[in-house]
Amino acid sequence: MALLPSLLVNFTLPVLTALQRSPLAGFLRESVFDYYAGYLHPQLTLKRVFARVLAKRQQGKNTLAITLAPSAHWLGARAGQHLPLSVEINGVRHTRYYSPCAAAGRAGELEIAVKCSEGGLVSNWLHDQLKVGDYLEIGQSAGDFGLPKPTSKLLLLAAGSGITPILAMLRSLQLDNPGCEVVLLYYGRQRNDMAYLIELKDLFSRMPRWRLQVGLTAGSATDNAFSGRFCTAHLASLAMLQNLRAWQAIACGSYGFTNTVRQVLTDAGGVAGLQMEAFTPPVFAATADQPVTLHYARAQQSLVGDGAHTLLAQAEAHGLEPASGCRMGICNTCTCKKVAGVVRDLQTGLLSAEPNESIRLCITAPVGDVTLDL
Amino acid sequence: MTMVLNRKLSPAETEAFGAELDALQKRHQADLGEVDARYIRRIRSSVRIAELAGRLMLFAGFFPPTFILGTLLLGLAKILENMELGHNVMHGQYDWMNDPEFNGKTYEWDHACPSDAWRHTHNFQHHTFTNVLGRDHDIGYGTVRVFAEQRWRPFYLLQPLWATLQAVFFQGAIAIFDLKIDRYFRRKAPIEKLLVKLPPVGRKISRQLLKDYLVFPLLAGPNFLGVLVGNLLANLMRNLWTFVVIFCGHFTEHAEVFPPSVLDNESRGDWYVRQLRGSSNLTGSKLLHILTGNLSHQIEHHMFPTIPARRYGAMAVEVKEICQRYGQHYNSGSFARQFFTVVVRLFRHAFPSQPQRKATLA
Repeated sequence: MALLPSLLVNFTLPVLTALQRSPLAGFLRESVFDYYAGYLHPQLTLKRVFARVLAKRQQGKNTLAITLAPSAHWLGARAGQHLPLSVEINGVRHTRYYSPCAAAGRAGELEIAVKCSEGGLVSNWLHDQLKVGDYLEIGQSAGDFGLPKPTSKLLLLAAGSGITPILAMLRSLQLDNPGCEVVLLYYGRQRNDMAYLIELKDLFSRMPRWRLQVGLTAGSATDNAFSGRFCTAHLASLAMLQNLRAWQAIACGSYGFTNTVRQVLTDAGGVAGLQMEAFTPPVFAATADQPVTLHYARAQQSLVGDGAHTLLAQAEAHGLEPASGCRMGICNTCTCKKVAGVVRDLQTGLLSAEPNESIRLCITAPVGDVTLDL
Repeated sequence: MTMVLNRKLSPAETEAFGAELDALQKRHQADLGEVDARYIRRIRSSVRIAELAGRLMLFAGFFPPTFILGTLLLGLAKILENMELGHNVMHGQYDWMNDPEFNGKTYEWDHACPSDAWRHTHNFQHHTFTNVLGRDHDIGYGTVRVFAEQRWRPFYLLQPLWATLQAVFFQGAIAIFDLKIDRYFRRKAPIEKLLVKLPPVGRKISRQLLKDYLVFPLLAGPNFLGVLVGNLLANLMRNLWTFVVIFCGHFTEHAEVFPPSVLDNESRGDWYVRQLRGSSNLTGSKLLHILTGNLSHQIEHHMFPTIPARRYGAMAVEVKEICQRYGQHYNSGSFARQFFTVVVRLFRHAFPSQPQRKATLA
């Protein structure tokens, strides 16, 4: 229900942005403004970006493609960047990062691909509960992953949903640098699992200097598809890549996949440049006394810690001086943003595995590598 | 005055007492979800709608129906915002939602006291060192003597008057509380320290004063005075109410204070016992509980300050039962009764008094 037509909202938002740079800004409290303005239109906010769901469709067997129309607060995305998307499930806000399938300008439409895995809280919620016409909160895009400039020979490697930033790069190349030679190696379990295969075939058929090679890691290899995971043999069988050192390479997929890519390319004599992005699932340490890495984002330090002591005690032992008070979990003074990783609340035993959750340092201990906003 | 008997707990019993309360907290922590999120959003919406309606009505000036209703709505909005929303959110009770609007570290309330100062004096000092002399400055708020254990000074002879003034200007009293201005008059602290602490408090106080006594009255144009008086009355309403609720929390007849030595080697169980003996509950309707920000369940709030306050009522049933089993007095009474005992303390301890030895049941 919106009292204000959507068209007007996108004219209003730049005015609000300008207003915040004026002396009047001191009298505007964001949460208060957003609350009242929300009755007029869900996208009418001071800063926060809400996007309307324009379409939902299936892409391959397990992937859901969502088309979003963000408000004019959204500044766009370069090909390869990712953006946060937040949903609320059972009262708790969860944030995940997705790479749009195409570069987008300010307030431009964008499409993200969500792979539905068993037990995936957010992906399943988006699949089952999200409706066309709903509004989702997203954030500004970020990340340095993207096309090298200039480039004339590009080797792209994608596995599973790693295809989305690669697809965005291909679409940008088609417009800005169509003369570039491109080889794409795209891996999936089976053909019907692989998102955007039809779009890719269509795109490559129109580009004579581009070559698409599919790899299937499960099931039988048909229609010239490679079989099994990426390996030296796959690389060697591509005639175009004879002079590998002249090619720039970009890879995106799981952590295991990008590791293999790095290894195989190094073994083959290296490439002109390699960029990689991997989805890193949270790492759980096996036992409490096993060493873990504690990364302090503001101090820009990575130090070795353990799962037996509280994060507060360990940060202090590392020479940091985080704000602290009662040291027993009641006063909220040491509350800090946990950027990434898994921690355990020692009083309740509950785990926090979500990125960007508030935790009380004095009663939590790491369960694996942790990044803190300290 | 009636005598209250607390059974003396052995260290093992104290530990078991603490473990039962820890288990209760754990159960509620694991159960947080949709219902709690919906509740705090409804409180937030009630605050915003009551404030908007109140301010709009006051724009009509002194016309009695809108003036009275507008003042009441604005006062209600301020009470709800300070107590059930601001105070509880700043404790981090809703941090688990990951919603930036209800984040305990960044929430700024509609009150002259800057939230950061409040988080330090209230969340840390008062909640960690509850009713420990010299450590919890909330004992008498530096202006009144409510326990015989506080050192008597001639200043306290007029304390019924000081308390009344404090009630009327409670917002300002809380705002300058952390500055501990008396320490500078008595030359106990260097004046430079005050100069560092003063600017944020000054900014917040001026912002609040400007908002209620200049910006909104100006927006009303010819009805300037009506809005100004309405805002003044709404602030007074909030001040008196919060003063009464807060004084009933720790200064009732059976509330106790403790020497700083209790903090030496204090176990988790001991800490729970101290929270119990230092706090007092108010019985009443659901409306009373909401309007006090569930501080009517002061005992539960002090035991579990990071659990959403809407759950204290349900937790109280179990806390009371646990206390009964361990022979610990559960200080609870009607609003009128509890406040009456606070007033008695205010008059009694205005004059020199000696602490009585607490009787314990062996």
